[in-house]
Amino acid sequence: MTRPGRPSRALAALIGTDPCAAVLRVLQEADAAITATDIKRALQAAGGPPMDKRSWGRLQKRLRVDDHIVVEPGHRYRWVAAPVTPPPADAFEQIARAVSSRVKRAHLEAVRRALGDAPDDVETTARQRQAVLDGVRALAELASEVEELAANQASSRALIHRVRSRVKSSGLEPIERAGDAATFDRRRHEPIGPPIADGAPVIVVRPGYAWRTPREDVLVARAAVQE
Amino acid sequence: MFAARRPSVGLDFGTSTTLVASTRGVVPIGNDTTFPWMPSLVGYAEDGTVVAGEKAQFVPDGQLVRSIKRLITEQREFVRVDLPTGVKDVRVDDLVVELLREAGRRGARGGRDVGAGKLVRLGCPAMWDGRQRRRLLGAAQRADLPVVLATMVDEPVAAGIAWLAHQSTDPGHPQRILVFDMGGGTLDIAVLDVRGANRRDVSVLAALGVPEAGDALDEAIAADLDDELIKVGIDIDALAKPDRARVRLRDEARRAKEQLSVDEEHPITLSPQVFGRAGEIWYTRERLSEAFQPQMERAEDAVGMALRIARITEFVESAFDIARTPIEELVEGVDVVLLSGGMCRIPYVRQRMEWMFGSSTLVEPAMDAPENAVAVGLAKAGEYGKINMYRPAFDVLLEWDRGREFRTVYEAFTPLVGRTQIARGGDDLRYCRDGRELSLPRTGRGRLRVVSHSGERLRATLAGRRLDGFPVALSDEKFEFSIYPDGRIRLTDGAGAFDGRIEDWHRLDAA
Repeated sequence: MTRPGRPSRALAALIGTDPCAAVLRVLQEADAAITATDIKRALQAAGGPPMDKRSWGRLQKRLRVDDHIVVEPGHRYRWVAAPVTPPPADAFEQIARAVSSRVKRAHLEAVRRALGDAPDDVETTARQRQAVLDGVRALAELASEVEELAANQASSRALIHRVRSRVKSSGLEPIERAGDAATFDRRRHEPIGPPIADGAPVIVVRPGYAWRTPREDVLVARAAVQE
Repeated sequence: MFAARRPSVGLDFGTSTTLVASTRGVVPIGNDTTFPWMPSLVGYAEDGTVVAGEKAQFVPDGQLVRSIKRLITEQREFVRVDLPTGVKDVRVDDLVVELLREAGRRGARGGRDVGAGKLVRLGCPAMWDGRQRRRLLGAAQRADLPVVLATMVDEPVAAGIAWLAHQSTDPGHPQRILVFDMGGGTLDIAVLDVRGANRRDVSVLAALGVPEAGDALDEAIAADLDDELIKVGIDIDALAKPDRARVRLRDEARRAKEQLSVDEEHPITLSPQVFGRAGEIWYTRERLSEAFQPQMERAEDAVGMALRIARITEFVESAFDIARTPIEELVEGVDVVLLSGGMCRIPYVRQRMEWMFGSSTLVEPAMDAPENAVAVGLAKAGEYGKINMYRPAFDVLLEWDRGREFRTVYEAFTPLVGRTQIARGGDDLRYCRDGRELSLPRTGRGRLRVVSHSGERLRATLAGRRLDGFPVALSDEKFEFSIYPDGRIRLTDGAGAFDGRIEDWHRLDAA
């Protein structure tokens, strides 16, 4: 920052004509986050008059909305070369705080929800990628588990139990069990070959799966059956 | 004592994993893996460069530092690493800097810039004292993260906030919440009070940590499996490579622990190459609960102690009475028990808490994914006021000789009352420093000064005047300064005795 005793001439000239530009110059030269006291000292060292509370209050308002100024914890001000562009959700929260007493809460909530659902920011993209990765990881873990069980000469009972337990962790619930006898139910069964009448005896070829979440149940696959 | 209400980024520097979150949820920071978190690993590559996160998994064991956060808890300054150039003691904080810097970089890549102008809320164990907090803070600042003491949040408070943020209705009365946060390495317990309708304030009444959690259960299950192997005729000690078998058993124990969270039984299949022959052990949830029982009993003792500590902020009661209060009475006032940390996926944890607290207390996970609760709560912490009544976030200094001389009368985050004080059952529960301990001059004039680390000015008075700036008649014999857990303050000096209180302390007994 501008050191006492060595005031910048440009700064001295600015103080009288444009105090806000002078403060910005102080912050730019400081190259660090500094407090209001530091700023006032620097201005005085450059030949400016002591700043009263009212003048500082006016300047403070302008500083807070300047694109090149960020206010850090502890009421410290920092000049940044590239204007900080916050994520849309953060920008909205700042606007919401400024106008909250003049806008209906429901309106703010509507925009907040819309921003939360907005698919085009980096964070959402990262989260979407993560969701895909979670699925891929679950599949890879299942594959490696099956191979390990085969190498350990696991019984079919152990193998089926472990597979079902593994997919249960992801919210998947089996529909029927391979090899079991059942009566045909079109909502749960997928016939292999010609259509089957409801209630007809069938053999389960492959189990199906349903994905259960607190919000919804999704039929992932019906059990494959044959008459 | 409200912290700044700004959109922020939460950084959960955990013992095993590090997570970054925004108010919208966890921001994936995993690298070259499918996990959303970064392992809290740091080490030295062959060329001597420091590597953090997943890359550290591939450095030789001697060059790797695991659970580095625990080294701060243990107050260790250095850690020994075996580098290609020889054995070297490395500063723990330097390695923490690298880890945090890497997490910050990855957070930015995930859309959460944590550079200048942003606000990062960093979690820390509620049991950490001022020195430990400042160490992490210093490391975070060196890693260019915009953090100050005021934006450090106790981890259990963050878990509580994650839960509060999902509560759609205001209960209309203050809530007492116990956070049971069991991770891989530590169990953190905190007792919180939540009050206020539009803006809720979270007060920490008690917080303590126990260095026994998931790892200990893995050991217990592995020991159980060892017994099972003997029953089927396999003696690990008699195997060609018993160490290899034990490592495998430990891995099977961890997997059984995870799978038994969703299932009643879990078949463990034995590798013929490792155990000499194939075989299966059907391990049940019941067996796991039996293996877990001694550890959970110790955890419940810790819960009881946390509730006793919380009690001292409530009434002016002697430690003798508190130590002898039946546990049934202590659990009565708790409205909610929040489960946080990966271990809380185990049904037995919830079951034990339900048994302990009874049907009038709600026991539930802080979040659907309890391992994310701290990170998400940190990101949302700006919406809540926070005060740590057990380890207050302010220093009280005594200055004289125009500020050239000073003593720290109370250092921020020092517990007001020690666990042993309660266990012993003394009748003088308070934090106290006297003139002799502080090596004060015999006479002279001084002044108290208060430095708040919460981001807000502390409102405290003594004899009707502000505590900050209160004049003191110095005396090495008569000076005594006390803070009581219920917020009362007392100063005795060369001029007399003065009583006051911390105004921000809510009167719990008046609720």
